[in-house]
Amino acid sequence: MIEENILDINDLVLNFYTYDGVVKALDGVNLHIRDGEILGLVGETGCGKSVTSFATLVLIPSPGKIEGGRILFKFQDKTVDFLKQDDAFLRTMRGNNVSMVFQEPRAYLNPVYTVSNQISEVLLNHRKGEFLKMTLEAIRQERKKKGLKGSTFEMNLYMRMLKNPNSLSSRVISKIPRSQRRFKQEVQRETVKILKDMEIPDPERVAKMYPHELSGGMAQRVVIAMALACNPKLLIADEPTTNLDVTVQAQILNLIKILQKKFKSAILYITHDLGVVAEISDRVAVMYAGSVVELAEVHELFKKPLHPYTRGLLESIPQPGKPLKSIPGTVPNLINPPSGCRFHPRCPYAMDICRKVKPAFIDVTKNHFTACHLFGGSK
Amino acid sequence: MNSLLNIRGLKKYYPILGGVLKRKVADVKAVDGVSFNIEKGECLGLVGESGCGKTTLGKTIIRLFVPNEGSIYYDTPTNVLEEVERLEKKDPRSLKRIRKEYDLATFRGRKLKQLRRKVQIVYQDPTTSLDPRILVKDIVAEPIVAQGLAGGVETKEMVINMLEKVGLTSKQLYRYPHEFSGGQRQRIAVARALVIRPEFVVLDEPTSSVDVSVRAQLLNLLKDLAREFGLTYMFVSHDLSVVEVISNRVAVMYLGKIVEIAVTEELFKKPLHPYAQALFASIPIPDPTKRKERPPLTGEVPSPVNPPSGCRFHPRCPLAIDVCRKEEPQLIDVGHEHLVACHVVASNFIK
Repeated sequence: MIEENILDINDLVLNFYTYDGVVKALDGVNLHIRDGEILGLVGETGCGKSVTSFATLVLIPSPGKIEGGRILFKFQDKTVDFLKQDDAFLRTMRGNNVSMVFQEPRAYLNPVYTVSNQISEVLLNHRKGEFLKMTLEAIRQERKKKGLKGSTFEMNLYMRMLKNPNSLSSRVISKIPRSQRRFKQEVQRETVKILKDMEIPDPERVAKMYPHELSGGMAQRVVIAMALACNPKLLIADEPTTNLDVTVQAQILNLIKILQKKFKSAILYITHDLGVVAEISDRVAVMYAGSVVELAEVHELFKKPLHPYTRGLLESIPQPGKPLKSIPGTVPNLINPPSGCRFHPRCPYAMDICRKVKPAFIDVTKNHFTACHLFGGSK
Repeated sequence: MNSLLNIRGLKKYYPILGGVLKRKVADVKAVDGVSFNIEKGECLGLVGESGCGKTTLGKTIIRLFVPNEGSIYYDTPTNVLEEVERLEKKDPRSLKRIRKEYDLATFRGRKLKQLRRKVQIVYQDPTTSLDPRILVKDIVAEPIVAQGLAGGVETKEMVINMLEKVGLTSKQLYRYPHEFSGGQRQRIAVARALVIRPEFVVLDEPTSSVDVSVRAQLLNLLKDLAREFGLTYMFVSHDLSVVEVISNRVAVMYLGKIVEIAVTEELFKKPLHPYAQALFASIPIPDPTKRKERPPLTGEVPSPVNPPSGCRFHPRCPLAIDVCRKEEPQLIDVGHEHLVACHVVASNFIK
């Protein structure tokens, strides 16, 4: 069975040009996400997990620069390379086909707008036409019931906005709040519906709240609601439960699993917690110092880890009754990374070739990818 | 066993000030009537969700905060403690003399300063607990200087000695905290706490700001140091897997109260309090074969300003019965030093 890859990241290279030198943050990242799966991405702090997620949406802040590689995204039976598209096209993709949930929900929400305001912003950006049609239809139905014919001023207005959304008149009209009361109501209703999907109790009340009135878990639900508002094909979740308590984390993980089944989105779940990965993902990718070192199905990875770094990572999970193991040394400085395989200074199996040649990312056994010379990475 | 600390009915409230005159309008009941023992040489883990009063309890025990009520008997002989128990019921007034001598809650001035030599704390985030403008040698030497324990050359020797014990070298003496990685910074904080050889150390989430691989190194270090110096730890954390590895006994806190205390293995194998059960069930297990479909705990932690009546867990508890709404459960021993505060568990136990 050949499964569709919804996102293919090939040999992505990204550098940050800082005053201290060039930080080689991503060094040939390879990542494939299949349609409708949850891919866990694990790694230590500073290994490039978050940078990878931002790069996927081409949201790299200066002084960062994408130097090479391809980000292939499949939508509507076409494959597009995000790196070759212009900003206008990318804006229609972000938040619509690919959306993101960040680590700190409170920092991500705007403190001066209500929850419903912020969710409807997403809807109005990407699904305005849909809502205009819905409103028109609703008014028509209502008038039919009353036995009225013809069209009202309000309907004409919506029709004009629908036909020519960028014309001067519809832009002016859309600035007048009273002119589109029905339309706003319709959007509001959808907002509450989305909040309800997030298992938020009393969604009507929460919709009117400001972010500071929400607890951490609730704020994260609102952010997830914003991300899923347009039913994206791919959701990137960047450590969404890191700052939450275990009980709330369990609630959010449960919610993500339920939503994934409902919306059928693919999810790239970034975390540093191996427990969470084991809990939620279908496949796991392990990152170290700017490249993906191993990618496999979750059961396979936990049972038969190949790359020495993955093995070390799994061994450093605290287990009662056993002495704690740890990987010697620390994460390398990416301004001056080790030559060849970036893990070789900490690797117990390092050979001569590891110091010189960077191992290729190859398929070792069925769909179990790794980048290590021990497993034929030198071919 | 000999207990190092005996805590009785400890309460710490934070006032909420309001109105034009900034009068007290309410209290945040961070720690609300907590009693337990810490034995000599053990490591007591303290777990709970954020905002349940873990850190406040840790800081109050070592008198960084003044408790509103209750007493903390430090290194008190057993016969004196028995005396205290007898007097508490009969004649609380005559307790004053004993409290003045043993109860940390009453200590002031010079006596408090002397206490600081015996108890120390390691904070959560070393980037904020270490002064960025002081050299490492001065950071670690500060407790020695403050206590007036040693002179110049001797101080330096003690500092180097301590740094080597935590895995740093004398080359790093003349550096500033920002030149170190997170794990190394936490090592410096540990060195600072242990340089004056305290007896009791409160570890306030020391591993929450470091990575998995560094966390293991740090935990090993803390364990080794405890053995070497004969330390007693109170390990405050919300990370249950870490607590399981390092502590001998674990106390579970919920909204300012301790709901369960037991020996680590016993508690992790068989938690009795419904909150503890929910808490342990929500730990993600790093093993995909043990994935389970379980209903997570619903609702959120209520506000400690106005905690629910009776048992504080009753609005979220799946087992709640009528009495839970009215009466506050007391900690009862169900065998093997396993203490639980729950009406349902208690009634089952009596049967």
